[in-house]
Amino acid sequence: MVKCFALSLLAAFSIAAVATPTDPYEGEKYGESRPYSSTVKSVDITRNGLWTDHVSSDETPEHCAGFILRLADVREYFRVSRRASLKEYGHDLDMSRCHAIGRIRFANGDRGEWEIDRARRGSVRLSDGRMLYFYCEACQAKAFYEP
Amino acid sequence: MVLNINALGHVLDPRIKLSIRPHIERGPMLHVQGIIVHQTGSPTAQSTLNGYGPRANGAHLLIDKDGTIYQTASLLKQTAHVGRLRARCIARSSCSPTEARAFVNMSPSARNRHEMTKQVPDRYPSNEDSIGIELVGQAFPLSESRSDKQTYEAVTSAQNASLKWLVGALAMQLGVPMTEIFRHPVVSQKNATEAATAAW
Repeated sequence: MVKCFALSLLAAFSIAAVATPTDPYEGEKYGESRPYSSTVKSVDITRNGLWTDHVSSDETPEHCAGFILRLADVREYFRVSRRASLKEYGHDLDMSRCHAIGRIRFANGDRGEWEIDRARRGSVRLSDGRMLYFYCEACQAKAFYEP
Repeated sequence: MVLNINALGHVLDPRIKLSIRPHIERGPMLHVQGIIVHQTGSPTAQSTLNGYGPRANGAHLLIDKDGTIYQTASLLKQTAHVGRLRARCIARSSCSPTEARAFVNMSPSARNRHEMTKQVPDRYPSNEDSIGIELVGQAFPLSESRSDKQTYEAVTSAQNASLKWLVGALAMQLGVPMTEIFRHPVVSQKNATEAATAAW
């Protein structure tokens, strides 16, 4: 009985330990962008010209192979893009199968991984799990679709 | 199954709760030619309604996980719920050779302009002529930046029961053929799993 009770306590503690509080920007504030103010310190590109079949479009892998962002394009993206909410990023904005990925460091020490697609949507997953979303209408890179 | 729609475009029916959000209403909708079924990406109806603030996009109707139906915009007003249209002739394998070649290098904006020169059913219904129905539901995992790794949760049976009734009533009342009712990713470039488990 004591062993059973101890196991129950351990299980309850384990669940509490791994559970994370609900992120309001994925819940009641999913229509708002998460406040974040640090500037970008450095970016690099891990892969360009990627393709996914999880977006409904007629873009082929061959078509997406031509989606090549240069480092200057990525720096410009995070300099001039506007912040977007999860609602805009995941639901409202048009998506593209073509995307690029890389890493990013902010001046405040935060690190993360970015993804930018041909339809000008962008996201950063910070190392602590927080998500930042972007949309860049003003970006000049020719690799993007017209806004 | 006749719906009572008043002069404001509001449905007066005990199964539909009026929760009009004027910020998502755009110009007048003169003719309804289709219905587009969406999933919100949000966990609750309230979070969706919270997101319908100034300049927000949204759809005309919202179905909560328990099947509760909210009307969030007038049926006489357009809402920005569709996005840029995909080419319907590609799905039907009916594009002319010239058109098919042009689509290869056409941006979504250019393709949308091209499609909007056509009439339904040669193109998909658009913001100008379709009703949008949102089903509350998220895409998981949330902490995944790669859109190719997010999958929308299953539509609940209560949502599908409400959706079936609502689509049937709207289609009959507005004269929309059942062939002009689509999941959102069919008509524009979206997460391919959105509303995949919706049934009407």
